[in-house]
Amino acid sequence: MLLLAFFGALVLLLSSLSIQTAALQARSSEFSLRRRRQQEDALASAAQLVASRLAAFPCALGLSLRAWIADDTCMSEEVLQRLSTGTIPGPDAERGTYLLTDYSPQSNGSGVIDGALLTVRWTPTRGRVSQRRFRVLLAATGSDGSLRLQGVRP
Amino acid sequence: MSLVDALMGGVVFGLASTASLQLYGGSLQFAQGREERQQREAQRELALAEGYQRMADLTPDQPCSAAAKELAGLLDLSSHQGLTAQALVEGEAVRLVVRAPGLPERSRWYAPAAFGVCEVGR
Repeated sequence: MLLLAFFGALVLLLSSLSIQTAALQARSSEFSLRRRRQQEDALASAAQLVASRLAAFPCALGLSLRAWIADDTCMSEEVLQRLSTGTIPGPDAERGTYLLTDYSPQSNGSGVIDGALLTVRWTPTRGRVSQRRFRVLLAATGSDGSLRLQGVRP
Repeated sequence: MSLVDALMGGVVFGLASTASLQLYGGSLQFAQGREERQQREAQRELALAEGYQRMADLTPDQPCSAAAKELAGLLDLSSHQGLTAQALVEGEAVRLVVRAPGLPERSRWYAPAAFGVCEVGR
């Protein structure tokens, strides 16, 4: 009788412990998903801030980041530095810094620049570095064909 | 089988059942809460993405600081079940904060200048 009770108790405890382990694993994956979402938010915010600063330099929109660095007639080195790196204002400021790692204009089938790819890297104070590419929509305005920002989307 | 054996067996089984029930209960509560949290998170994702949708509703060719204020007004009005959306204007951009019960705060920045819907000054 005692042996049976011990065996039954052991089965009950082991089964509930395995369920508890599964719950703990789910909790851990939920936590990492939450952290990933925060990174996504930071990257999306950084892309918005970079693009909004870039909007003041239509001359740079049709050129790549390499071209901006090589030739400072459109944007000075100091401006480029301010544009490409920084912190996200508000509570995210202490969470990490962003860096514009790439900007490459894209042409449509007829060779007209209609967009660009903007890549931002997020370095959090704690956790992994993440990077994301955003699509910048561009449109030609006026008779001189100068470009204008139309949006930034993931 | 003695009476002592039967009593001890009963006590051991009873204690194991109680502990097991508590563990089951905790896991069940977490599983139920998880489903609710996932639903709220999905709603919050939609609320956070609203900044992209609302850009098209802005009055064109106004100064970016005015456009940011207008955007904040549009985002503040948006309501989502159980969520609190707050739009804070800072300079020429808007910080959209969406809170959901039981979840940490999430926020995203939106800049009308990045959508070409306002007059940009250097």
